[in-house]
Amino acid sequence: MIFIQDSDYKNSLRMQILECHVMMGSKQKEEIERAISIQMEVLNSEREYIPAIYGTAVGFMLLKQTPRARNQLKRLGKTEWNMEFADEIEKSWLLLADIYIQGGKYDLAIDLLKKVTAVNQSCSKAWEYLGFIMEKEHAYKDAAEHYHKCWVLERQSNPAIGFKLAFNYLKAKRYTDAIDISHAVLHSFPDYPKIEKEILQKARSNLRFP
Amino acid sequence: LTRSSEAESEKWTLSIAETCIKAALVAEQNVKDYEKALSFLNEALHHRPRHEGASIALGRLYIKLQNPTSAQQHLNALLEENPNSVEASELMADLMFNSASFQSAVFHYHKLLEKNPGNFEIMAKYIQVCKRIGKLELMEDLLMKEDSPAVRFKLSPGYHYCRGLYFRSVSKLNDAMREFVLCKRDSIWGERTLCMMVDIFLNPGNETIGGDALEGAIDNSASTSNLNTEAEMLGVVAAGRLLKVYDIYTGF
Repeated sequence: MIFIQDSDYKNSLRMQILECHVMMGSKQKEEIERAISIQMEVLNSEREYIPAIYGTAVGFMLLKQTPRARNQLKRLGKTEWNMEFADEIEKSWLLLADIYIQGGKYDLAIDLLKKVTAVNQSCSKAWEYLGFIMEKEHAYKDAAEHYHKCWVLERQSNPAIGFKLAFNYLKAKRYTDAIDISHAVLHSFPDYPKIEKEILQKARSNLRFP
Repeated sequence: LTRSSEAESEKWTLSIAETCIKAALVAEQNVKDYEKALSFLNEALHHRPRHEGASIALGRLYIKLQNPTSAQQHLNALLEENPNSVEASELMADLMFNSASFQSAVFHYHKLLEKNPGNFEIMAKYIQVCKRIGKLELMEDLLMKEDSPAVRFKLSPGYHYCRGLYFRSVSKLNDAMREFVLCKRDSIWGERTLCMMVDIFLNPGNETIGGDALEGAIDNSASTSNLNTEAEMLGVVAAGRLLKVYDIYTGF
């Protein structure tokens, strides 16, 4: 058939957006601006093309223009989740939640993060954000639970998560758990800073003097 | 009607139906008039009530238009008539996936894969769904074991793509890359492979790019400046090179 197939066209759009992400990855101002303008052009012809909306928002965030990024992301607030753009929709929600957290609007952020975990139980980032919020609100027990999910999902490969998990166990007075996690982190990352002094030793001394 | 005229009318209705399907395709993809596409497909089915291509296209269009009730009705009727239709069951599973009913989607995909272990389009979606319900271990039997049914198809690029997808989901990036390299030149799987590879290069840790609410909290000693570390820089360069090579191949 002489017509361009929809799928081809769509895919080439996707590749265009991918190239924009590479440009933005350089983190240089001119490159980011160029990427944004390309994606804006895409949005002119395909008004609701979700990957482009997400891409421009990332660009604005990298340029520290948070309000403009937020406005872009809010366009996706009412979009129903669908499988074609699943990853982009989730990433957009995460980014918007990130913006809300920075602004101290934890309630809004939690709503968004719950939406993410509802469609993707394996999204470790969402669990991490939830743990972060709970830690800030001094709910160490809940924070530890959420960090634990994240820790398991990343197959214990992320020492930073391990550190936070151990820290929250310590704060929640679950000393043995804190020690276990610290050992696990030090086993795979022997040089990881601070964990020995700040968590392992404190947890041990707390165990000794209840 | 004589026998010859019956055969004649048979031929005519078939060609009308096929024309309608083509018209629907144009309406849907080039003009983006979905109502027209729907009416064309309905007309095709009016002339040829059992035309499989038209029914499948109609089901797909309903899903695309986020009209789950009509899609489900239509697909149920289709499956009743032809319970073994792979395409119809796949659409049914897609419908469940798309409306976030992951448990039913898992059920349908799994049933399909038991019968067609070499269908990697379905396998790729199955992996996604398993990931979403947090039960990635469900698919390991089908793909990752040495005696998995899919191993028979290990020369297929789709096999490697799906394995890469699995490794990416469990943060085994080196293994994922090893699989993706094997299918990045394929005409069907190449593009999505490239998307995955670029994603790994640009964002190996699945961070929220542009977001920095968590920064500083993780590690105060890490520099929070905008400058790239060397590893990040290399990732960007590698990603750029991948895309450039791809452009040369496709002439896009």
